[in-house]
Amino acid sequence: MAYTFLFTIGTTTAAAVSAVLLAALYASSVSQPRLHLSFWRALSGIPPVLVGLLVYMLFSQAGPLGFLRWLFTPKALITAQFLLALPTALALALRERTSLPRDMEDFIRVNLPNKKHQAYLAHLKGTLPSTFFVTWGRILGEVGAATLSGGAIEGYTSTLATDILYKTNLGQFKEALVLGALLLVVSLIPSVFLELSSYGASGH
Amino acid sequence: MVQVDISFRVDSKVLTINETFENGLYLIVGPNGSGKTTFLRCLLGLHPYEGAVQMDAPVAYLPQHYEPLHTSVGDNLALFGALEIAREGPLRAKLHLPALRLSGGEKALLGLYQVLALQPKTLLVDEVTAHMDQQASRQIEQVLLEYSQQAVVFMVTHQWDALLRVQRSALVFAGTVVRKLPYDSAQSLILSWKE
Repeated sequence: MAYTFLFTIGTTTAAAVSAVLLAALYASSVSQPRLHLSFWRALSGIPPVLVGLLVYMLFSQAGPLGFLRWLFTPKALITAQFLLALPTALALALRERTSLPRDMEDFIRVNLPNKKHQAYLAHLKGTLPSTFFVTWGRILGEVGAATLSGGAIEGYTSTLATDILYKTNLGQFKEALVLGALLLVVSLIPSVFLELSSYGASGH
Repeated sequence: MVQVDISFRVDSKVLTINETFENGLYLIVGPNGSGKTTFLRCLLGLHPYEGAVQMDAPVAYLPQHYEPLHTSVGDNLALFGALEIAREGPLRAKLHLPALRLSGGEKALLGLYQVLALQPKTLLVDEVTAHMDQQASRQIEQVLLEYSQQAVVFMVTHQWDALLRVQRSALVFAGTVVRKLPYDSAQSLILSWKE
């Protein structure tokens, strides 16, 4: 159980951090963020099982990346989680970028013509933690993509969520409930953090 | 020095400005919608106009709705290489705070430090003191006055009393007429409006 717990935290964090960093770089680079926002916001609702299917097709032996032999390994699982997190992270980063008033876009354009990218990155920096936790929450309890890509192999690629499903199917309800409680606690951490940070940011 | 010979459209009227400005602070005053902000945007090439504008570079701009970037005060300053300027001012104890937690006056001061760090020869400041009390406004005006010894500084303002405090020439927007007036004439004109 300890392995599954740490594995879940590790893979989820790795996928969310990669997605958030890439999203920040992307959102700070595009010149028309509003156009990109609609696309990524639509994609952020993609069903996880479809992402799992995509990763399965990519890494299966007949797939274009089959030679990597990643299917049913942690690498395929993290790839699926990353792909699942990316549209959400991009949508949040782009929304933050578009929240800049016209005056501030002009301020950056006039005063920092050669450092626009750094300025937009600095603007996004403040929201990285909340973007991270939202994407983290999206992939933490997800089962479909994790099962199709990682195979939910106990002690190797199973996550808290896939383990709950597995134990319930076996009728091991006590273990499933313990895992469920653990997942609940872990999933509450972002909310507590965001509440505390917004409380701090409001100056109280 | 700034040389302006332009015509531009504001709503349905066309404004023509043909003036030369040597180093110094110039208030830009006039009623709402008279074209003050549009004039600054013309100078920056952000609004269409006919004619010619010559300004000494570098040019810096502090807009009306300035908001710090969503990161710390220190990060906001560092982006402009302005950390050293701020270490001696009232923001020195707040460098690690999120910039959004600053008061209105402090935010304006932050923006001012940022643009001053660029050492502009032409500085355009739009309504930065709009929601400040007199003391905070005076602080900002004092910084601009000192800086204007080495640059042309335009400051758009709605606060008529700003003219009385800084006692400098003003570019006055009145209907379709825009004129640069020495302090005494600008003061008389503005007082006549108030009556």
